[in-house]
Amino acid sequence: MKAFLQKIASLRPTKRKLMQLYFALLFNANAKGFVNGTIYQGPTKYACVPGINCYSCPGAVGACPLGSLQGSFSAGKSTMFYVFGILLLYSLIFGRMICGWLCPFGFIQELLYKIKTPKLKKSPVTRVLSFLKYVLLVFFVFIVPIAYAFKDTPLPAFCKYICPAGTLEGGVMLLSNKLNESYFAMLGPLFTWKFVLMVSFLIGCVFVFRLFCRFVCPLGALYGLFNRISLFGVKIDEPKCTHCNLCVNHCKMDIKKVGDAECIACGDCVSVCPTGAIKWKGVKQKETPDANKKAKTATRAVSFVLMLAVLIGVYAYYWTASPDLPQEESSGSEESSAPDTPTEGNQVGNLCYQGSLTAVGAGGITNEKIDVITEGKITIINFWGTWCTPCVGELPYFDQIASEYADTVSVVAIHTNMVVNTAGEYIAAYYPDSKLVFACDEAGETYYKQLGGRGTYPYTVVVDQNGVIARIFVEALEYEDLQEVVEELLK
Amino acid sequence: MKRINIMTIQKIHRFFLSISLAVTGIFLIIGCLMIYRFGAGTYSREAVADIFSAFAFPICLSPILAVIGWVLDCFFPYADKKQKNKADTAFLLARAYGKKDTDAVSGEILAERKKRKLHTIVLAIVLALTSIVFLIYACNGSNFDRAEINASMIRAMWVLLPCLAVSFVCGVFVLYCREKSLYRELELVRKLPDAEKQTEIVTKTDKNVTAVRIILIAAAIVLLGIGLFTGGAADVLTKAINICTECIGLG
Repeated sequence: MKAFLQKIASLRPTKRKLMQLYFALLFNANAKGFVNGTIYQGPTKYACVPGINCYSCPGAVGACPLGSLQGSFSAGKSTMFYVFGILLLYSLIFGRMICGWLCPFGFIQELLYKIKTPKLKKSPVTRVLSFLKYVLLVFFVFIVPIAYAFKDTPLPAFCKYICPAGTLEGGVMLLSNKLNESYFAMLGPLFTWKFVLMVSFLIGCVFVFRLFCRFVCPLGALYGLFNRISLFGVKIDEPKCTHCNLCVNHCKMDIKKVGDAECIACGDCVSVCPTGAIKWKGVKQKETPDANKKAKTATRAVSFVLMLAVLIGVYAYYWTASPDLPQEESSGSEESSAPDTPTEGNQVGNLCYQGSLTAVGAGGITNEKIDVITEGKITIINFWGTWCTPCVGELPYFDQIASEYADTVSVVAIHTNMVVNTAGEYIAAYYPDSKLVFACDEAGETYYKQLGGRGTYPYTVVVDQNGVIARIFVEALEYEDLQEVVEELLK
Repeated sequence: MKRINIMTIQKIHRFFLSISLAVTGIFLIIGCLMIYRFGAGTYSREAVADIFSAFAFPICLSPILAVIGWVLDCFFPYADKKQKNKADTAFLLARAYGKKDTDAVSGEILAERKKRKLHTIVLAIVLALTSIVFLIYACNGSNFDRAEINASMIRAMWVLLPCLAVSFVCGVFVLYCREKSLYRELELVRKLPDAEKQTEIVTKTDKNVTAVRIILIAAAIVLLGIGLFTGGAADVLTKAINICTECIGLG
């Protein structure tokens, strides 16, 4: 019994585990997002959080630094400066301590590693594999996004093809909400690939310590480069070190030396060192640690209460700041006394809301106002953004439909309300003489939300000649899809 | 005897938990592939529920076994095999040289050093070649087709993966050989006669770190400031508040 109680006492979470849990909760404080199945759209997303935490996660309250970095190449110099500045600052202050203490995905991996199974220990093979993340950093985070940025196509290659955190926190979390049932329509080979990869990583993490961090994470690779000069972390007091290598052998990461690029400053080695040669950087070492136990306990209690209060406050703030889900517009046939005359709404079969939006031309926003729905014509309303890869990818098909069916179809491409300056440049470069009608919603994304948009892009609404919504697509479309819908409505 | 039995139970439990987890993973992957293959790429909530309910047993078994494992571990702690404490060979070698007469270095030692040099050169050449091959491919803008992004990425993988595989095999081989060679040299050095005067082991100290740190922090603040005042944050917000479905793997 005594042994059992001792074991229970030893299961008490360490300070690091509590910090990891705390920051995982803090970075995902938008609890209402999980209920509504939508993402937070407030101002705190101007800032990047230090660890990997997908900004498409319903709970995320900050931007993912890796996604922002990849997106910055196609966004312009100022965004690059901003993101590089943030990343450099994080690296110089914390280094890879972020991986060990602040990263929510690192925390998930460590929890999985707690499952009692045989573990694969580090070896020269894992040491060599640990260099893989640098290759991924160079190729998926720099080369591919930059190559496509030159072609005006934003491509966050790592997010799109690899990131299991995005699939888990963004994809699976959004899909698991019943309100997002329409998202299932867009799943295809890419989701299959990313799901397989995510499951492999998660199962792998049970057997291999921090599988993703050690071999794949480009953010960890980037932070690791600054580990030696970061303000916080662990360091060796060389004169005290006897080079017994206990620290290196005890460490589960592929370090060659404490504090090198692989070290996540978890601090496990500090207690192992027989000579006390490993110290925390940026923390004043106390000569007599046990001198004032009461004061220490009081400080801990106050810090705990303060941190808890901050967390509760943050959750309360985001709960009130996030808008409630708009009431679902019911189909006209249920409410209307005359079933043949549908009411206005955002479901298939409803009369589509007429929107009066501002036209966007090659020079940017114009003074011209346009009506979105054209009476007597099929109207295809496409919501897009220059920052969105699939939106940019499908735009040529809309252009083709607009020119081929010019007499019968009107295609309105509504740019997401921000960064419309880039939209002007984009239109000037690729669609100077297009039949597409480009517009933007200067009153925020009111029209998009009115038509049932839930923050996902691309989003397309097809309205028939009578102004009734015929189809809604929450996915990227091909030319054949559009042609099929148009032909069907023309019959 | 009792202790051995408990350990055996623990081992059997761990084995079955590992199998169960692996099977769960495989079933999840197969389930996903089945929906994709037989549903011709169309997913639906019902299809997912149907497929995964068929795999419910192993999926539920794994968490149950995991909980049993934790409970078992609380009553009968399982002593994990610890990583052998192996001292750093390079340092042992440096320390051994400190005590020995370095003028008496034999031909065998020199041969070991030459071998290691050769290994390093071979690795450097392989890494350089694979990097050059890949960079030539990556720097050619026409390889990244705007209209066929996925196909371009698959083509790039056909170049990147073989390069990576060659580098990996070479890296592991050189690492093993280097470690073995260091051990052999250590053994040889230990046989050398003791020196009259011991040489001190020089340890590197980090100078100028503070200066570099200050310069970089200043640079980071300047970059951040420029980015903020020229509207760079707005693009980050745009990306963060809108879901680019393709970016999170939805399609």
